[in-house]
Amino acid sequence: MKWMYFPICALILFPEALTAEWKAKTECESCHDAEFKAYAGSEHHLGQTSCHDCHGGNPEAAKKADAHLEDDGFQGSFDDHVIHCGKCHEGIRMHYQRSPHFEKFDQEVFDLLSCTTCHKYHQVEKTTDSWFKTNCERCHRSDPKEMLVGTTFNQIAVRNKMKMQTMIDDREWLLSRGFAAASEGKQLDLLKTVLKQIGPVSHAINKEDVKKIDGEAKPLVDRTLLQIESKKQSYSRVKSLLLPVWVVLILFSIVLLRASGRVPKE
Amino acid sequence: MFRKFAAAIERRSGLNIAGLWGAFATNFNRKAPPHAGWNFTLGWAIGAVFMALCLSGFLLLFYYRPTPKEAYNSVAYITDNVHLGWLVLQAHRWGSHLIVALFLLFIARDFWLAAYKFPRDWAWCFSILLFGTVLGFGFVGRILPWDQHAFHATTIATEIIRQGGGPPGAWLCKLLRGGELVSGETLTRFYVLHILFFPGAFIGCFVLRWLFARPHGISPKTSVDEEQEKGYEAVTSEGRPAFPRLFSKQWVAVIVVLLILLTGSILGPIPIGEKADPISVPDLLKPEWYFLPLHQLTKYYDVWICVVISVLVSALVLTLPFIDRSPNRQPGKRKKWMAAAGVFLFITLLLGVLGHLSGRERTYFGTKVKFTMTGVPVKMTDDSQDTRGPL
Repeated sequence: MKWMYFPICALILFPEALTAEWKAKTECESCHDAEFKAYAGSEHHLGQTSCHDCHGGNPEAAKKADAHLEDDGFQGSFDDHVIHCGKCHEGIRMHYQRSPHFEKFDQEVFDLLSCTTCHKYHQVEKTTDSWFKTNCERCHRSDPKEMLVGTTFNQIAVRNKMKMQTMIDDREWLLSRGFAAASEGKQLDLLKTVLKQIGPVSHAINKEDVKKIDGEAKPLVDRTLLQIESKKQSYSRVKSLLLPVWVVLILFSIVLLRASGRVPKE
Repeated sequence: MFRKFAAAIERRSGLNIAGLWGAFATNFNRKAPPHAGWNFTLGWAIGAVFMALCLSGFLLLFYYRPTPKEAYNSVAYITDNVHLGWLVLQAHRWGSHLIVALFLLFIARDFWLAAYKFPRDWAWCFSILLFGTVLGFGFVGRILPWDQHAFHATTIATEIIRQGGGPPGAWLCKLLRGGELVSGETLTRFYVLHILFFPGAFIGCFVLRWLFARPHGISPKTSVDEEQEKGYEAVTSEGRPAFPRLFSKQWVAVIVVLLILLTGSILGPIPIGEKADPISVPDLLKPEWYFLPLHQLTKYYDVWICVVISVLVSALVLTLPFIDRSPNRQPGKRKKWMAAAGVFLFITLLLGVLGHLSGRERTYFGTKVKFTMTGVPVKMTDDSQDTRGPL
């Protein structure tokens, strides 16, 4: 009966092995290795959006045929990604459908310009600094001479989104370090409002909105970034002194204790 | 040099400075019992933290403004604009927690060694009163940053006094709040209590405690009767003079506790929340950790019962030397009291842990559990949380 201990221990250590979600991933992974590798670590994966959330089907089926039944809502590929992604990302879909990007897509000038053109299929990425640079620069080059379409990358509002997101992340860091937010509270509120608008605007790509946000955000961003930088410097200076202070005072304590221990009893 | 200076003062004022110094020196030259080691450095550690609190508080006073309009902004100004202001503020906040923790250890040590028995009984009473002033400092000091948590936690704490204290409680609540509700009046009152009343009370209790404890030295392990019969010198003949061994340990304790204060302030600072808004109440409101057990108790019983229990426990602790009159000091010979203290400690810790967990979500072995306000764990289903947002 000793062999029984192994599965029992395994279940105690990995109780999630019993859940359907885990099973679904491994079942899909057994055939769709490449897709699963792309999906692993993506924003959808981190947000616990699983294979069948997009593709339907039966994740618990053991046989291949049973897993891909159309009766279970299975859909292998999608004709219209804007409609399909828009089932969950409803707000984004509405804004995108009003954008010049969508018009181009609709007119079949760029027959590939849909959600997946920038956001990819399985490895859905977080929109970071490098993400914008890679994706926007495919068409909106930084150098005006190389410009393929529209306006240059440096002029578009997404640059400010990056800056502001970095700054808001920095503020979270500052708050976690105990710095108060009040004196910049109003700025932060305004920035958050602007940032909320930028999501839709960057999908709707309305030139007037972009200009407005650009004008509002730039001075704020520059001023606040400067303040944050000086605070970070002050913090790291003090932090770097901590270890030497510990070492000196602990050595002093040891010397003090040893010296006092040498005094004879009487 | 010192003697000349002391003599000059005595000639002009009649104050015997040399005699006062002699009173200090007696303590160091007198033999300490053999068990007095690191456990008898706690008082010095508390003193060091108190000095750090005084210094940081003094520096904060230059910038802090006790009005509802300016309080939060002035604290933000301290952290954002004043050079090293954030460090001073964090040292003050960390110090307020550290001093309570050290004081609890101090009281536990005195209880364990029965240092509350004659002739150190009055000194124990002043230790407890000192601890009371430390808690008072924390209670009135918490509202000063005027953030969301401070405002609503003070509302609840004063409400407990109002609901549980009967007519005197209602009167005290109104007196503390400066009206029917927590407002700018409350802030000003708590500010004055924090910077004038409690420092005075602390120093007063400290001086009285020192006067009553100093002549008797560190409590030996022998019984009260034996100490009285043979005298302190005889029962501590096995020990060594406090100077320099215990004295150097006490200074090392001071160094270590100040290092902990500094490290905590830099690496684990306590953030300040959003500005106080009387209309919107935060979801999870909890008092400071040392008030958690009492706060949790109010969830199980009527508030007045909790107030009566806490008043009775405080009174029992304060008058302990006059209730426990047995001469024994060895923990093994005071089993009844040790058992009572054990039960009290267990209940307090349990209430504290339940108070900490209540209303929070935790994951144990892949299972999400939410603790109700009374601390009962409830398993969460997947439907109760949707991770996908519309955008």
